[in-house]
Amino acid sequence: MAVSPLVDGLPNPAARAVSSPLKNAASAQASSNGTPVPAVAPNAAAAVQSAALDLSEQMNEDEKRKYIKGKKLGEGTYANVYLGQVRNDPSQLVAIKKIKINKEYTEGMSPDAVREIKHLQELDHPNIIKLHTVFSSKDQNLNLVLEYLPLGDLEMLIKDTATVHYGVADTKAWMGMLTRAVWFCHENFVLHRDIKPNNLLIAADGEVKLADFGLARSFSDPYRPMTSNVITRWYRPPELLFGARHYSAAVDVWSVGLVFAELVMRAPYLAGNTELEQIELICKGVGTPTEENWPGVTTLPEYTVGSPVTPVLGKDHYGALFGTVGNEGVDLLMKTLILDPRKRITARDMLKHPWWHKDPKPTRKKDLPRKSEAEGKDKVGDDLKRRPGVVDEDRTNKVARKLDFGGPL
Amino acid sequence: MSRKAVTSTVTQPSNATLPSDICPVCKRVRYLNTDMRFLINPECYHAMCSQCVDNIFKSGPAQCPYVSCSKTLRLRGFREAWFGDLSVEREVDIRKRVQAVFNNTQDDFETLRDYNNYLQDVEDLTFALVSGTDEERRKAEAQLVAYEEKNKADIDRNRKKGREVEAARKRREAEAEAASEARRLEELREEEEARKEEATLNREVMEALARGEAGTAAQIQDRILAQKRKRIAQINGQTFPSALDGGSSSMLSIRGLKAKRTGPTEDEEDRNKPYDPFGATDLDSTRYRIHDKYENTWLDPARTRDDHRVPGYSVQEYVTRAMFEAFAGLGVVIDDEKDGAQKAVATAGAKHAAQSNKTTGIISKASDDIFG
Repeated sequence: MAVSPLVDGLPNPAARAVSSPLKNAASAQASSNGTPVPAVAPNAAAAVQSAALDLSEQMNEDEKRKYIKGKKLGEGTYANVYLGQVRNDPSQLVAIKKIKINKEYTEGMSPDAVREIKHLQELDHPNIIKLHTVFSSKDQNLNLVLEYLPLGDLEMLIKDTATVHYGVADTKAWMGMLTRAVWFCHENFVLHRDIKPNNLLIAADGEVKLADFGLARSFSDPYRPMTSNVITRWYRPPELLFGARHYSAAVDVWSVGLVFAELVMRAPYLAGNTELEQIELICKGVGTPTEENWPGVTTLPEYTVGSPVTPVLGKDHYGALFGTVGNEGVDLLMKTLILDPRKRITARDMLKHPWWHKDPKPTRKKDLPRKSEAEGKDKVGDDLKRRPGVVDEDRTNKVARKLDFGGPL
Repeated sequence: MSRKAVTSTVTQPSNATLPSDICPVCKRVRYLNTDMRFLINPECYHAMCSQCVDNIFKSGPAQCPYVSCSKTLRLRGFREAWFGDLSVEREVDIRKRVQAVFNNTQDDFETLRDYNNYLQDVEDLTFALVSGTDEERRKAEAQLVAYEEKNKADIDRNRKKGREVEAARKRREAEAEAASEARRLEELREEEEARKEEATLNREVMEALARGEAGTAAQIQDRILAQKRKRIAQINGQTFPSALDGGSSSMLSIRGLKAKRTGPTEDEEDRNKPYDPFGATDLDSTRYRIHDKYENTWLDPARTRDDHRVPGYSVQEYVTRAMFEAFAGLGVVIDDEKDGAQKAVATAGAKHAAQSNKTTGIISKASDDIFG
């Protein structure tokens, strides 16, 4: 094997002997655009090939050496999360998410990881978790170096009714940050498809950051179906529950609306244990989708609604449940929970809503209620290691049905 | 007669002095009333004895007993004058009042010049109030009230800040005082200890002699004396550094440090900023405009087919994305980015390009107007 002049400083010559072309392919694609690069068979141009492989290996090695892996924050079936430090500046902390080798995807990387890398590397916004870099470690494990967000997630704050108290101003501040994140994704043609309180992590300064892009994808072209089996059930919009294959950014808006409702109620608004139950809850808590309020809904592949039909609930219903956020707030909530996705408000229009300018003013991020770092650290480890699109097990003791990625991505 | 002399300076007691022994109102004499006190009211600064004040104003507000003075005075307003010269008293009162309103410090100004100009203006106003004509005084008074009304919040904040600074100064002084007191006591104690040590000298020499130690009496005495000296030196040596490191931090007071900008003001500014739901991010495209409808037969079924239309598939989203991707690379000048130039430059170039429809032109960072 010809040795390239570029890599004469390779730290471990033995490592090259065991490295496979696949490993190199994986690391190369990680740092480029996430498109699978087929492993190249050795041929006449072997010298050229090896130089290329070694270069990528070298780059990977450089990237890896920038960070020191620290203690484990969490372990899951999908990924392990470690606390990391920047080698040159140990005060700078990062979270390293090490994707486990998946038995189902022995041929390459799991689609979750591909999606996460593909979209996070493109999105740079204060309310979206930052992906610093990606490298592969031994055994072809993929490592995502993510922004370290020590203060846990929104779910933790919502659930802890005993010690965490927050008001409308805080809700508004959190909703503002969430809506901005979703708006930014949509402006960049990315569907997040898994918005829920435990994917909303909290940075040290109180900023809420949208994380876990494991189910994200870019807007689909016409006639290219997407899977309808996305978004954690409780936050899944009716069009997905009815099996739609061509949908729009409105799916995320529905989730945002339900997070809003959850922030106010401090409990999930529509927590169904099965998809059928979820549809039933939507019928009861929002209104039954019918031809009147959603023309053509009956043509959707899995359209099933129980009888009796509940008419779309009005302002009085929401006012009774969510009146604390004020008239304008209820109006915004109702617009995010419109059954017909074409009539549902967009993220951009949400930000233009008058509610943001009504009293009370959103709390400044440093004044927002928060939990201690010790509590948050464990939680963030849990959040990052979790497989996307699944209801948290200890919340319901019911595991959601496994996601099928066999269909089009 | 004397009464007339005093009343001529009702509004401006320019040369009025506090009477020393005859009350100008009731003519009581100090000779017969040794505990006579003279009071003034800052409404008109006319002095009268405390008994007159009691007699006239006890039952409620009344007119000033001075003949030409028409001010209505209240018992509550009377106080003893601090200065013998009542014009000085008045000026000091006015200055106090002006200072309470114009209480900006140099830190509040951008430049020293601004601050000096401000001081000049305030002094002009004060002078007009103290010794201006009626007309000038009225004007100055109006200015003062108007300013007070307009800048209430600032004034309050400065006052609070001033109080904090004052409290800090007092605390510092108290600390310095306590430290010097502690030092003094420490010194006293050391001295006492050294003296005690010395006092035992004779006794120890005697004891040593009695024990019959080696050497002559003189040698024994010298030896013990040397030991003693060492011990005394030790006491002093030990205590000095301890006094030094113990008190130095609180004793040290540095002058001339510029006062730091206090937290609350920035905090307030932060609080008063209007909320921007978009977080100061503008993602509207500057390079092209999206039309409402694009004629494209390939897209038509996506607009009309039920499986696209009903679940909300948005052709507009697709079009927006297609447009974005078509224009994404334009206006990115790699050389510029290499130079570390701001992204805005590239975007500005692209804007020009989009407006003038000459996207194939050579984009050079030096001249933006090649598109124009």
